Amino acid sequence: MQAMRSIFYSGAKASGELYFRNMISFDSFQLKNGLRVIHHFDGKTPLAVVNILYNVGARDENPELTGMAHLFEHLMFGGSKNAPSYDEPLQQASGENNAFTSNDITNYYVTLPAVNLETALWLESDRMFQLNLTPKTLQVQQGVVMEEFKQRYLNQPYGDMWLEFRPLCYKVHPYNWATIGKELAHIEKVQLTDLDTFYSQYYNPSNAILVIGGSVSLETCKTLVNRWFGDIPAGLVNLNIYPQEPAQTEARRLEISRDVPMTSISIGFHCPPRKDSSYYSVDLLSDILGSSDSSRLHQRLVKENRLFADIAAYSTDSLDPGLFVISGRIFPETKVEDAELAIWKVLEELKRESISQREWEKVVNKKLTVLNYNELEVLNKAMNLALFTHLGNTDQINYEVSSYQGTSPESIQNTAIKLFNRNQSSTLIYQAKV
Amino acid sequence: MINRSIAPATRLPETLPPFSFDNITLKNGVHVFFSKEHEELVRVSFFFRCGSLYSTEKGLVSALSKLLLSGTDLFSAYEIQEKLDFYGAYVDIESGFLFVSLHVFCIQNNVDPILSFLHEVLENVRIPNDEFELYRRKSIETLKVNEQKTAFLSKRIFNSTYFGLEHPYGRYMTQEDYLKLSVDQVQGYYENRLLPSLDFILVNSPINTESINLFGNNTRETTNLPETLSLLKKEVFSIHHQHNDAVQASIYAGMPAPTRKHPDYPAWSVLITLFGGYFGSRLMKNIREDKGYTYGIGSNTLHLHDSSLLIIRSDVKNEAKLDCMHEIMHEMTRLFTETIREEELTTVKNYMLGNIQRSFDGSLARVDRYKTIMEYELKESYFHNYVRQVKNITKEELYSIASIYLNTNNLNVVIVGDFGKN
Repeated sequence: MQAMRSIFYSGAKASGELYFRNMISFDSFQLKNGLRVIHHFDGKTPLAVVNILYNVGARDENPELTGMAHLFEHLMFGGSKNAPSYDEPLQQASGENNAFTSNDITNYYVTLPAVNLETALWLESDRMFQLNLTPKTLQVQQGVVMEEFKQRYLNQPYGDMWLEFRPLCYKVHPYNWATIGKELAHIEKVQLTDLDTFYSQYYNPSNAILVIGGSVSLETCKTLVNRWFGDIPAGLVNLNIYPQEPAQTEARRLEISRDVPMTSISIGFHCPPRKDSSYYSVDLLSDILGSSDSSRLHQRLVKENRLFADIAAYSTDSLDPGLFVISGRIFPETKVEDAELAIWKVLEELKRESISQREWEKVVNKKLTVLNYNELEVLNKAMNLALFTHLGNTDQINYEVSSYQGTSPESIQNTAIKLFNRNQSSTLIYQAKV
Repeated sequence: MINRSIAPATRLPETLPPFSFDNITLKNGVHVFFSKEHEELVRVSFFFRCGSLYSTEKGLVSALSKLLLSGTDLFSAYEIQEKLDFYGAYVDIESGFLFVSLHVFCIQNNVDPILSFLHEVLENVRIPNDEFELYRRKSIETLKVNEQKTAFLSKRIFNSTYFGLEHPYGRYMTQEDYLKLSVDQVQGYYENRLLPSLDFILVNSPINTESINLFGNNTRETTNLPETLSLLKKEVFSIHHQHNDAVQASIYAGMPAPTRKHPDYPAWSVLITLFGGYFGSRLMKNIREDKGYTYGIGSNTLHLHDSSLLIIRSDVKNEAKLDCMHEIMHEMTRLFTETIREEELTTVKNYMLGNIQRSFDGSLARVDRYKTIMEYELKESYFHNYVRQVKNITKEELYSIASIYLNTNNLNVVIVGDFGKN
């Protein structure tokens, strides 16, 4: 049985008529140890992609030892029992790899010539099975991660904004801290025993999703995956139970002062999790407000009122209830209260007045472009297949277009009415020192 | 149970696919190159040969690229952006040394209305005063933010010292310069230069549209590069720039390198990849993976229009900046004093061959490679020859290339950090 790429295409115009993009075909199977495997054939590329998603992220950390999940990601490259170096054999096989950690997941990926697929599976299975955790690797990677912390969060103007904003918005849920960790000291104090525990708890086939994409037949995929992953013992499955954030009942506000040229204003609202059916309305709401120069916040507050130098709106796409964020930087002459008032005016108007059909079509059409763009490269497709599988339904990757088209101006307005409640907002004023 | 101690056998990547482009010539002689393979997501890229090398005034070209869609006699900036958004278009305008390039991303169905509209806008740009004022204010604020970044400063100091403040590669805008810039200058550059300089168009898919022909209606003129651009030979410099309270220091160092067209280039590129061009490079192994001084360090070849430079850069722990510089020099010296192990050479070559294959994967990637061919006036067979040459390079060649080009006395260095604390 060979997976095929089928194309359904209608001659629809841009104006919101039904539009079908290419379908992404895939097969899925599961090993006895619980490893879930997704296979996607793409014969247009000579490459293969191996993407492994582990169900562990910063939200799984001990609040006194934050940054562990991300530090652990770095240690996964420290070599394993049969491959003392992870990188070298992969480079010899003409491969390239990287990884990222979010508050929800840790994702590793490799691209290499399809003929060398087995090298990637050997390396990935060996480090899933028997990783080398040594004092030297830990010490060096603590240094590297602390430099990453400084480079991205401390040595950049506005770099620590999210370090301040998360604890303001979340009081109970572990989204309270950023993936990099709350502070350098947490990274510094991690011990090898902490890492051993973390590894045995989360890094096992039962807690992972493996996607193989590219010029690889389903048969080869099954043979090789069974060969390399089949004998790894099953382990615990992360049940993803976290202390849930209670409903916020009064507005929160934090003002901090930093040596930056422009004061920045960020307002966060709690929004539904990624899996919620209202996700698509939330996402389009952020586009209506602030993802392009024609969006409302930019048009009103940058172009017309000249209060802000820039402003954006976006949601965090989190697996637990996330944040809808409006964030912008004001010109030196702008008063903070005027700027805040102006943001609220735009939000209130959105709650009060209906959205035109044309504006709705505009944001849906832009989404179509993005969804098609995501299909150009096999690596993107593999990552998305892993993510949708983790969300509970791999097939949803092919229903994104219809899900966005299933929204309406009304559903977006209703979302705005639910979300933009002053008593459930958190405002961070990141004040420029005079 | 599988014996995990035996690594699976590996093979080198297949040969690169040949470029597969069709082209048509518009009425005015502008070539449009299409990739033959159908893609639902289309990117149309317009290359205008009026980048900053063609401008004697600094700041004009980047201002124009930011203001190109800011208004016409008929449409406001909002109306232009709204209409492009309505058709789902993403437009990205870049200002480079050679080209101003405009890339538009959209789905097949919308190519036609988008291109006709873009053509109408590009023919009738009239930059509104208030849009220009907003651009000026935003640029000044952005500049203030950038001037707090050590990495930004290190690069700017390097370029202005190496190329000189008069050269387009070295000059930069200050707050005062933004105040002096006028909308008439930018409008003038648009009127005299933009449309006549349209050089070629690249598309990642066949597109079924008449609207591309509209771009054949404009007159085309060739402009030569101003002749004052020869680079002055300067003394090697080492600059330590104080930046109070920096928790990290930025290093930016460089020296002359062979250009892509030079016969030494393939060997040189292997040498520089081994030195600092990939995760397993000597700089990464020493400074990140052994000492933990940095999140990343790298070396690469920067290709300018008529010359190339070796660039080494890193953001490092402030206290380790001088030690890091010392290690960079040490690693460079090793290249021309020690022979490279065969195994290390094989690893870097295999990695590079895979990387070139990846850089040809997907229609957008192939269009980007084709753009390199156009920009540096290379032969279509360039990358294919390059792959063959990389495969055959020996450690003796690398040693001799290192001896010719690398000399730690010729390395120009800028470090921006807090020198009060070490």
